[in-house]
Amino acid sequence: MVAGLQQGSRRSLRLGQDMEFADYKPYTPGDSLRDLDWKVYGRSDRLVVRRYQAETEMAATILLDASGDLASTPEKFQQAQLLCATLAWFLHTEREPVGLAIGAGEGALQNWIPPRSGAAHASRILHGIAAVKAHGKAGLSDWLTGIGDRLRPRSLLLIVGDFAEEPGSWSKALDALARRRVDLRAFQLYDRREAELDFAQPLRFFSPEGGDRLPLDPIAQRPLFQQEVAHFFEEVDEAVRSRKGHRYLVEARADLVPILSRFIRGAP
Amino acid sequence: MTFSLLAPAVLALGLLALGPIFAHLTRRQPTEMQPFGLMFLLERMKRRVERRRRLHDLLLLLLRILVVLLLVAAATRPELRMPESAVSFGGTGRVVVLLDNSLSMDQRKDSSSLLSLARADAAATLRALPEGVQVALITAGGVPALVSGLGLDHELTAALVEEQPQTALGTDLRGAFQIARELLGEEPGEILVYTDEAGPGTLERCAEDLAWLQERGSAILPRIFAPAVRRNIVPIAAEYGDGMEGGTVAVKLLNYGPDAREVAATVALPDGSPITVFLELPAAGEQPGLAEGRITVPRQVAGGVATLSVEDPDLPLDNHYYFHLPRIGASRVLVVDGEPGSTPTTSEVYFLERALAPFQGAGVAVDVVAPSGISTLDPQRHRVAFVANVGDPGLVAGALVNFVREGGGLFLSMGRNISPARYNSTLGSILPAELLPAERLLSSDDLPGARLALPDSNHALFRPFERSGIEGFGRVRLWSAIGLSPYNESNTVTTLLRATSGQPALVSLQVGNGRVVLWTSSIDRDWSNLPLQSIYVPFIQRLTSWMGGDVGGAVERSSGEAGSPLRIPVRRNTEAEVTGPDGHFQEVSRELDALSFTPTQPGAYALVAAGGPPLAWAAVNVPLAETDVRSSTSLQQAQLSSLPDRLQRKISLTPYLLAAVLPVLLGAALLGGRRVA
Repeated sequence: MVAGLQQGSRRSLRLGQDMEFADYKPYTPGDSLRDLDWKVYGRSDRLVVRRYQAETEMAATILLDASGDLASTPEKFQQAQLLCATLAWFLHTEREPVGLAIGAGEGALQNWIPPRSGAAHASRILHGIAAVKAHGKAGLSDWLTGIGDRLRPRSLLLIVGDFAEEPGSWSKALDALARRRVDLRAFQLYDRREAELDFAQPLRFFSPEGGDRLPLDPIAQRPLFQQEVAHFFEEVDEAVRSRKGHRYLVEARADLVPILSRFIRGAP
Repeated sequence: MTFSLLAPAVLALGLLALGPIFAHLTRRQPTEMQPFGLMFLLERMKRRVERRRRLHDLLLLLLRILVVLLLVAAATRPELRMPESAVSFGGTGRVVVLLDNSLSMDQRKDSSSLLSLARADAAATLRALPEGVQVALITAGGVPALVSGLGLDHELTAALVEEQPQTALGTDLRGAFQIARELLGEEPGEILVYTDEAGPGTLERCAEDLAWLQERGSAILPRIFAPAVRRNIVPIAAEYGDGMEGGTVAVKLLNYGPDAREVAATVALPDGSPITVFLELPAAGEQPGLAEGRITVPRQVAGGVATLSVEDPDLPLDNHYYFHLPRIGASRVLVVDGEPGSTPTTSEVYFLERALAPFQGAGVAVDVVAPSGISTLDPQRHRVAFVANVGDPGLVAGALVNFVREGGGLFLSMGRNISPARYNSTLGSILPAELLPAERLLSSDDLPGARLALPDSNHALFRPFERSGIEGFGRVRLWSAIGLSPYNESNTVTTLLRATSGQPALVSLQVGNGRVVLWTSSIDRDWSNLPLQSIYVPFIQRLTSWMGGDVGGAVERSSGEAGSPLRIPVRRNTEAEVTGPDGHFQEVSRELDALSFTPTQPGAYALVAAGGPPLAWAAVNVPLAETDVRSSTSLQQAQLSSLPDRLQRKISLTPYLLAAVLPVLLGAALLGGRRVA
């Protein structure tokens, strides 16, 4: 999967800020017109595209939400682990320093591996991802606050989780990251069955993180709940986008390639 | 309009309505657990729809209960019954106007009598009928009458309607309906009934005739005239309470109205002088309000028919009640003293005078004369003459006989001076029996003389002593008495007192309009101890009142109701006429010893012989039942009770209820389908 992804442009991991000119290449259809050098065209009557190179190396940190809710369906947490591992390996192959933070349990980061390069470091990260078990209550706001102090400015933060908390509770923590000019990529995981309330009979629903049980007829409530879910997805997207980040919706059973492809291309 | 349930027992199934409530309260909750990663979204949604869900559930519960109740109600087979006329007006071509012109139609509405309003309406209705419709007129006041048979002249019948007088008579709607039956025969017609529906039982009695008419297709079309509030005050009784020196008139008034009222009740004496009292009348409930009172009359009142009146504008015709008032109080009495004594106590009439006028001028006015003064006996002035121990009545016999025959009362008392032979020869025509020589009466105990047996307290003379005092007669003892030859008791000859030994002591003889009372002993202490007994004074006064007044006298008294036949006894061969309250002669039916007639107006009726005083009085009043202006039922109800199925429209509500179940059920289903968390 990573090999396929490497055909994309590494440059696109950055949003164009703090990039340095490298050289020209002939224009080919599909290149961005924004990168055409019109001065060269005026002087030489040739269409060329400018190419850039990152000024500094890009340190990336992956934050994995391993709270209890991620394990409400096995597929969801497995997808989260797989996504984290793929991202870590991809960044390693791009020779980018990569770190790992695992959030599980309210207000605590269970694991923290600072960003570094190297195969041994990458292997350590992958082992960390594979070893984690989802448990405890979520506390995204605390995690973000805790991790923000450790990130270098202008680094890349990849959040993999369900964001299943009131956006108002964690969105302010993103502001602190934005002020440190941290690039944000949010991978919001969800299980389609849960999002569509796809259950055939009345059930007593409960959160693996604890709390009250709620008897419910899913058939009767499905339309209303789907509206609620759609609204929630929009809230998360808005919260991330307003901090100049990207949010990617990841279904628990979906193929990750298109999502990662968009990630690498810098597409939202 | 009435409502009824054909299967009311099914109402018990209404308990099924508790089913939805029970189900609502105990609805089953799911038990299977499901871990869910988006619980905070579920809770957010729950908070949002919580209020709407409660409303939804309540509405759903109500709809379900309503479905059950509608089904139960439908199962009870409810039915609505509404009155409905069988035939519409004018449809049969034969219209009978039945006009109630009884007393109660004199009630007032907007200052007009109900009858005048009814007449105007009936006349206008008749004039508005299309040509070719036959019309007839029947009245129901008193004796029902067919005034005009079926005919085509609407104007004539309308004019006859307008001429119908107000009567003081009762209502006979049944009789009027029977005339209508005969008139219509087997063919249908429309009977316009103008009535006030007043009086207990007036309409209930018509049920059979109503049914008969309706079965033949006739329509009874009520035209009810009634005041806004039915009220009436009526005097129903007045009775003179007997007494020594006059007394009181006990009066009774009834109030049929819903309000308590105070009214002035006035007794007009036969000479016209009024005496008024005010009475508080309670409001009528199920029973009319009754007020009783007493009106004191003067000591001296001429006898005759008196009137008890009230001022009641609601039904003026029954404001007067007529009753008999006897001659009351002092009568001028002539005492003929046959043996003036040397001392007062030995005088024959000493005790008599004291008894007649014990209060120096009050009570009876007494003239005492010797036998030679008999010429002062004046039938116009004296009501009673006492002839005490007059030895030879020859000088006074003629005057006494005439006095008695003209209606006077003659009391004869015996004594030592009496010559039975002279009495028999001169006064034989007015003696109850031939006098025999005096005899001593034997004692049956240790005391001298014979004791008087107790008299019959039911006799008018002794009725005042009925409650107390009658035993006083048993203490009177007679030593001597004039004997009487055997005589037969009859309507004219009555033995009023008798000694325990059997001898007659007081014998009465009716002579013409007068009366002779013979006391076989002496009225002083010579032959008896009567003057010394406590019974003496009241007895002499009562005797005077009875002989001189109208209580037991010759004048006949009758009472009756307007519209009902009245029979007045008269002596054979008496040429007499009956005059009504208006002074006009009444049409009478003559029998051997009575006159019969049917009075049509309340008031005083007199039986008069040419040139003489009244021989009899009749007090005629309005029918009491007619004064009850309350309506116990309606003509419509009477028709319904007589033929309930014919005049009712029945509407079964079951289909409507079942039809209502469907939309409610649908609504419940739709609401149930749109379930909220």
